[in-house]
Amino acid sequence: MSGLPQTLRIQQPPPGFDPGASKVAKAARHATLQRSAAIAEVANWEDLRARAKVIRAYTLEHIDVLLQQLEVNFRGAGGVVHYASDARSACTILLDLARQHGVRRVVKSKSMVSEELEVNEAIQRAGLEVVETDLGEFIIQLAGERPSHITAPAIHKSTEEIATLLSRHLGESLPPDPQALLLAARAYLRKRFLDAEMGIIGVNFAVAETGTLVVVENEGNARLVSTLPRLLVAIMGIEKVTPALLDLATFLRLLPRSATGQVMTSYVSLISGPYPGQELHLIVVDNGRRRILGDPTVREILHCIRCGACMNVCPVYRIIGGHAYGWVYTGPMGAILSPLLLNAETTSDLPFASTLCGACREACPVDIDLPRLLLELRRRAASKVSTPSERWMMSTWAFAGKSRERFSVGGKLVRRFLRVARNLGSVQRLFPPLAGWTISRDLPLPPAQSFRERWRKP
Amino acid sequence: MNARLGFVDRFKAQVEAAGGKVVVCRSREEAVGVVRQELYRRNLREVLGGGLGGRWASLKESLESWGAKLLETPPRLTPDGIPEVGIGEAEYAVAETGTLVEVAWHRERLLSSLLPPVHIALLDEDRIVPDLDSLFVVLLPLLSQGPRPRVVCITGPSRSADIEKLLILGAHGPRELIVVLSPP
Repeated sequence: MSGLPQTLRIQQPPPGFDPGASKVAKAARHATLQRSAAIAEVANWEDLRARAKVIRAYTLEHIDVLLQQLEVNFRGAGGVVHYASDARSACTILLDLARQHGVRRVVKSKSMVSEELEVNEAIQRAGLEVVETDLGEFIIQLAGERPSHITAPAIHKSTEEIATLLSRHLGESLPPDPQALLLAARAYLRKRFLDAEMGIIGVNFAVAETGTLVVVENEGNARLVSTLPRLLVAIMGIEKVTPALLDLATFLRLLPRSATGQVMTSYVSLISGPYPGQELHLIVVDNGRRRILGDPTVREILHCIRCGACMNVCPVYRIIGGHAYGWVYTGPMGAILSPLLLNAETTSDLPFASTLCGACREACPVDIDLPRLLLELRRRAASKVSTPSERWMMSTWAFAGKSRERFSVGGKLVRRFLRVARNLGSVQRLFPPLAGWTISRDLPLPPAQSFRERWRKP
Repeated sequence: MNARLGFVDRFKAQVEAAGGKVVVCRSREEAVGVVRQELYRRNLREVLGGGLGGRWASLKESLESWGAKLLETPPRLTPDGIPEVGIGEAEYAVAETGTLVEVAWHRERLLSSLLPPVHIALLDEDRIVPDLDSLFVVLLPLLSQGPRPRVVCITGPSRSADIEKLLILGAHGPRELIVVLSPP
């Protein structure tokens, strides 16, 4: 305690509070350990990251040609391609398909873009039943929540909470035992799979060269969704396209290891066209992505392959969890992607929820410079919302900080000023425009002399 | 030959690491025997084996002579209409990752490795490729024109860790995977 100024009014956490003991923090630590072990086995991990980065950059550079190639090949294999500029048009395409086929029941596998488009809400508004079939997504659908993590959506829930939730919805009393809960959910969902007339899947990669949609998963629900219903609709953001089939060798080495520490997930489905008797549609969604593409300083965020490694290693995410990010994408990548996709003031403070420690960049399998992007978005947010007086203060600060003489003179002035402005040993109230600073905190009193002055004295 | 043996060892180790089992057989007859034994052990007379290729005609005969039925499709598409065991052929396998690769031209072919709780995969030794790069080189011509097959890569049984990161085998797909490996 001795090193800290006595005057700092730090709010004490409740007794027994351990930020590292939360469900989210534990899960994130666990995932990080698994990831490190899986990466240690790969001799050329950095080469893989570098190669992936080149492929992703090439893809964004040539995205129109690649999307066209994807469309031609997907059609050649018997599928139908639709383009949607925003959430509303994507949902309209989806609902029209459902109506044409007389669909009443829909099963869905995990897809972040469908969360973004609020596909479930649209389907339910149209009076159809839609069931999420990934266990974690199923749990949060029952709870009426949003995912708190992109690869482990229900990670904030305890086994007991899940047992209560499933017991209520499945109409049987289930013990708080993960195995029993999984079995009950499996039996309930199996019936839904067999009855559904339409399946909706997300897409991890779409290979332009062959028109192949790639779906990476562990549970087998995406296989069931893409195999059982006779009408299958895949939804992807434009940035999911990749030039060549051989690119998958790189991405499939990076993605499972980064996401869950697995060498390979249980299932990787390569869907190139429908099987005989099936109808296959692909909805390619823009929803703000082209705007990001046209913004060269930030377009790197579209390299993201949605593994979730950046959130697992993020010290801020570990403490505050995914829901604090307020939208579907969470953690460091969410703090960048959400404000850019939404283009809205409401999420412009997300880039500030970071310590800029750089752990996210180190963990990123495609080497996205996340700290740089966070800083860039902070700069933009600041230039938009700051007041003239704030800007004046910042430029004064910059002016003073650029020369040693100015800095020490300025420091002396500020120290003298603050010692005058003090009351009760700390600065508790400043006048406008500085008042904002002291509304919710005290400014600790600066020492009478600077470090240099003390150093000079014998 | 030595390289090939290396593939088998690596493949076996990786399947086991992913929670599956590999039975290495010296002949196709032995492989047929292993399948029969798995069914016998479970006291089963019905097994799902949609789209099993002509190369495995001997398995079909053997099962039938023993009184077991190899079903093309599940008797009923209801939760209780699905046999305990499904048998499928893996066209390729990847040593690097312990992955089985199924190439399906129709829906039935996709069900036997998906719906039953136990999946027995038949694999010829010479179908193991060293790594993912080789796999996609092999798959490219298949996926390049005309009607394309559905390709499913399978690594271990299905699993979920969605409840407090606790790994549980057997989510929506099989909880048990047995690879029966035999010479071509």
